[in-house]
This record gives sequence, C-alpha cells and structure tokens, in this order.
Amino acid sequence: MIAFHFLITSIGLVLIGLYGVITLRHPIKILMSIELILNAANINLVAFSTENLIGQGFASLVIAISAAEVCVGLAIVYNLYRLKKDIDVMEVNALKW
Amino acid sequence: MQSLMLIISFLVLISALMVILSEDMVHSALFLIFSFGGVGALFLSVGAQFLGAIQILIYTGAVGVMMLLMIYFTSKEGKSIKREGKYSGIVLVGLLGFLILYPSISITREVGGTKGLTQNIGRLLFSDLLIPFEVISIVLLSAIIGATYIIRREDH
Amino acid sequence: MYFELTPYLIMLIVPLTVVAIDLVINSKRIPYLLTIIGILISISLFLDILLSGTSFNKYMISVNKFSIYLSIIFLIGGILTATVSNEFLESAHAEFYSLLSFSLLGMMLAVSTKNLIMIYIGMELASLSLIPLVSFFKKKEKSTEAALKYLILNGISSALFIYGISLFYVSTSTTNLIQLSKISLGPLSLPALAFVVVGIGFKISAVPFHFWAPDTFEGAPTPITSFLSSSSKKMGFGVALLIFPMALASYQANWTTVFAILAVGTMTLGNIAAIKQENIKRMLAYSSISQSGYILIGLAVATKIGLAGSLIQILAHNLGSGAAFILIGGIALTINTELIEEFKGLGKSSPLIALALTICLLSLGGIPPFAGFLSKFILFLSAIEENMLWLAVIGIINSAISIYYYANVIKNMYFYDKQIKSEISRPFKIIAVFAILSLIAVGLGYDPILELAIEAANTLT
Repeated sequence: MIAFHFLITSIGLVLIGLYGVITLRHPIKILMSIELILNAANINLVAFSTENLIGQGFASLVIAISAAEVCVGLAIVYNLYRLKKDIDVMEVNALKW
Repeated sequence: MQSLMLIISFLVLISALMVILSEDMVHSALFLIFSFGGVGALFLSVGAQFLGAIQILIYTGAVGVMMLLMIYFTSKEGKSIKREGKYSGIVLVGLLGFLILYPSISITREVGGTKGLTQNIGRLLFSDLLIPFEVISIVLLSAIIGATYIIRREDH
Repeated sequence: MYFELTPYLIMLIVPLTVVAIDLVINSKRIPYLLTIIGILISISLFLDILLSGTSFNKYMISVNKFSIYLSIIFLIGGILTATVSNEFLESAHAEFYSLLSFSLLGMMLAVSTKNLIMIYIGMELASLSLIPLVSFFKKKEKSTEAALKYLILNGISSALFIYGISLFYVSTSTTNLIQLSKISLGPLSLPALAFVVVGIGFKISAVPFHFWAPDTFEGAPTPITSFLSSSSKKMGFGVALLIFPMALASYQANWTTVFAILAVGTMTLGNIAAIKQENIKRMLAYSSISQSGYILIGLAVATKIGLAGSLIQILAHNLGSGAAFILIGGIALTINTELIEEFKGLGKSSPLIALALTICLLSLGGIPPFAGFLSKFILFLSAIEENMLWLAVIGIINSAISIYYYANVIKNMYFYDKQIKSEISRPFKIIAVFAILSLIAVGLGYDPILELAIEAANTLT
C-alpha cells in the first residue's frame, strides 16, 4: 500500500508538470514545470531503492544536473530580457508547430 | 506516520498544481519551493537522509532562490500569464495519466529502509558511481563557463 | 591497462587547458589550435584502440566497436565545426572552444557505456554545453531565442527520459542495460517505454517532436548548426541504438512499430516542408529532419543489417550535412544572405565550394557513387528482407522528392550567368576538399566501413 502511495505522488507530479509544459508560455514557468517532472523522477528513484542504493545515488546526481540546467536557463532568459526589455514578448511557442 | 506522509504528499501535489495555475509569478515560485520542501520530507520518511538534506539545500535553497531572483529581474507588474490549449492539455494529460495509473495499481513493492545514510551514499558515489560523479563536476564547470559568458556585459 | 580511456581524457584536458591559458594570454589562435590538435589526437587514439582490438568495461564505461565508431563520428563533426569557427567569432574564443570540447566529451561518454545513469549524464553534459554555444552571438535576438527554444525542449526531453528511467528502476531495481534485458519490466513497461521514446524523439527531432529543430538550426551560429546536425542529433540516435535493441529486446514488437511510424512521418513531413523553403539554412534543417527518418528505418527493422545500415547512414549524414552547413556558412559570410536565389553564379566564381556543396547535396539525396547512396541502399534492402516493403517504398519516394529540392540549389549555382563577388577563406576550402574526398571514399571504398558497422551492430544485440 505504501509503495502505491509514493507512486501516485510521483505520477501526480509528472502529470502536473506535463500539463504546465503543454499549456504555459512563460519560459520561467516552463522551467518550473520541468523541475516538477524531475522531482517526480527523483521520488521514484529514492523511494524504490530498497534492493540497492543506486537509485539514491542517481537521484543526487540528477539534483546537481538540474541545478546546472536552471542556472544556464536563467542566464539565457535574462539575456533575452536584456535584448527585448519587455517580458510580454518573451513568450515561447515551444510546443507549437 | 503514514497519515502524516499522506498529508505531505497531498500538500506537494496541491502546491505543484498551484505552481501551474497561479497567475502571479512570485506566488508560483513560492509554491514551487514549498513543493520541493515537501518532496524533501518524503525522502526523509523513507530513510533517505542525505537525499532529504540536499533536496532542501539545493532545490529549496539554490534553485528556488535563483528562480525568485530571475522573476524579480525580469517581470513587470499587472501582466497576466498567458495559457493556451487548456482543454486539449487536460485531455492529453488525462489519457497519459490513465496509461500510467492503470498498470501502477498492481505494483506491490515495499519502499523505505534505513540504507540512505550519508555514509553509504558516500561509499556508493566513490565506488560504483565514481565516473558519473566525476563527470558531474565537468557538467557544473561547463554550466558555469556558459552561464557567465552569456550574462557577462562586454561594454568595457 | 586504462589505455582505452585516454581519448576521453584528452577531450577533458584540452578544454581545461584552453580555459587556463585564456587567463594568462588572450589569443585567438591558441584555443583553435589546441582544440583541433586534441580532436586529432583523440581520433588517432580511437583508431589505435580499434586496430589493437581491445575493449574496456569497468566503472560504467564500456569502450567497444560501437562506441568507438560513433565517437569518431562525433569527433569528425567537432573538427568540421572547429576548423571554421574562427571565421565567425569576434571574441571569447576560449569559451567557445572549451564548451565545444566539453560537449564532445559528453557525447562520447553517452554512447560509451552500458548504464542508463552514464547515458543521462553524458547527454546532459553535451546539451548543457551546447545551449550557450547556440546563443553564442548574444547580441542577436535570433540566436538567443533559438537557444531558449533548444533549452526548453532539451529540458523537457531529458526530464521525460529520466522519468522513463525511473519507471524502469521501479520495476527492476537496476539501471544496467544488460541486467535490464534479463528482467521482465512488469506492468509498468508500456508507460516507461512511452516516456523513453518521447524523450529520445525530442532529441532526434522525429516528427511529432521536431518543431524546435528548424528554428534552432536557423538561429544558431552556422558552425554550431553544423555541429547540432552532424553530432548532437547523432548522439540521440546512438542512445536509441544502445537502449532499444539490447535492453528492450523482449518488447521489440512494440517499439519497432512505433519507430516505423515515426520513420514514415519524419521522412515525409521533413521533405514536404523542405520543398517550399527559400532560406537554404532552413531548407537543410528540414532536410536534416527527413534524413533522421532514414536512420529510424534501421531501428524499425531492428535486424543486424538494419542497425548497420543506420550506423552508415549516421556517418553519411554526419559528413554530408555537417559539411553542407559549413559551406553555406562560408558562402553566406561573403554574400551576406542565405537565400537560395542569391546563390546564382556561384559555380563560376568559386568552383571548388560549389562542387563540394553539390557533392554534399547529391550524397544527401542518395545518388551513387556517394556515401548517401550506400547507406540508403543498405537500409532499404534490410527493410525488404524483413517483409517491410512498404517502408522501403516510402523511403525511395522520399529520396526522389528530396532530390528535387537539392537539384534546385544546384541549378541555381550552375545554370545562371551572374557575377557575384566571393572570396572564400582557406578553412572553408579545406572543408570542401575534405567533404569531396570523404564522401567519395565512403561511397566507393566501403568494405572496411561496412565491416566495422556490422561489427558495431553486433555489439548491440
């Protein structure tokens, strides 16, 4: 029962993150949604590392990488803001074609 | 203990939803930090002490503060957040949710244990995960080089 | 004993040295020369390992024929980019070359392993170093927007990929590909597969997930566009080739169908969109999408010969499109435009560049005797062998369509009398000669390469 409870939390987080990625247009908010998906993966990796610790070790590496990703991402968002001077045009149609 | 964990999971999900739905950027950043903290508490509840600690240090600390900083730098007041494809998004995510939730009902594994002590993780990071762990340092270095190059002003 | 790791160490030492030297001497030449020499040493070390026939499998690193084959392809893409980059850059040479080398190291690590952890970290190293490179002209809005799009799509793709890995871990408690192949994935197999396929689909810009590619390719600095098309995309294919045939062999019926559908969609949509493009960089970006579709045919067939065909198509596309993007960048530097119409008269004013571009395009279109013909021939043959005639027929129709828009460029270059000034600098001429020679060499002297590709495909299953 308790396993199911962790799985549900992680699935809920990944679905919420995906909904954000699909519908939102603001780059910082999309970055937030991506972080939610990464957290969902980390819950799986940590909670189910009963047989070996690899999952927990992996999760700690994922945390480090996602911090690096946010760092680069925010640098680019700030640079775009500096070029355009207006947040309103800074919408990305990332998932549109 | 278990009911406490249920409440925390519920709060994590609610605040994650508020990150997406909130109109105010600062509010969503604060909800995001709250959600990160809740996930950290979930880590602690399965005995993953090291992970719980760095989750709170790096996510609620570093990432959360960085997000807030960027919002203060770039946002203007009174602008609403635009959203597109609300309903198609719900349909898509709902279908996917069914696809994952339906098979996961039959997962009956135990979780937890007391293996996640800092000592054990440290041993693991310097034995099995040695090369990935070293490569992480290169990832961080290249992220620093890239981010400082982009942010740097070259007026002078 | 650890000789097999030296090429990786070289690609680590080079960027660190470049950054360290930049603190003391601010030079244009030193980072450029160091990077090129480092890549050449790395390639020759890989060839040495290949000839001595040793392999390495420890600490999550696994150096075998497959990883060496793909690593050399990435390094060739890197050297094509590095050779001409000084013509585009104005400042910050050290940052550019160190990030390029870091990115190459990440790509090499992502395919030189049998563990999902290393694959993920290698991919992240490669793409996190590439994002600043895409926005390297930071005063240009287009470049920064391209980088933002690349960053977001890359973030989504790796987040979905890692969620798929975490579902694998939930059902099997392992991240090792060899162990994964022995354990049943249980009820979570379908969602886990879906997440991994979508994550990789974004990386290789397969069709429902391709929309970021043309914008990013167009906005990025041209040498980086070449690098994205020739190496970064191939990393996604390398990862797909590592994961699917080996670890998920028991679910082959599921994923071959998915890849067949993706292949058809990717080839067709890429080609149709390429026809009406007027900007040549954008046209080649769409053609790069459609070429990815051919590589997917090999994954859809999933026999040894099919996988070998994929590997050769990876090589052919790496050489053809990498060189084509760079040559276009060289032409655009002198005539200041990327419109196909403005290429009129190029055949007379700079015959070498025009000839090289023609050969690149013919090879991409699959005309014998160039490299692209060989790879497509093997791929279509493998599809027919596996009773997937329809896949081969769609592939051949698409090749015919692609020749139409490639021929349009060639027609513009050769069949118009118009004087344009073009003084193309020496690095581009080196690339032109290299492209002509290598595309013909792969197309004609294919025996050792074919053999190597088949041996590399053998290590996958």
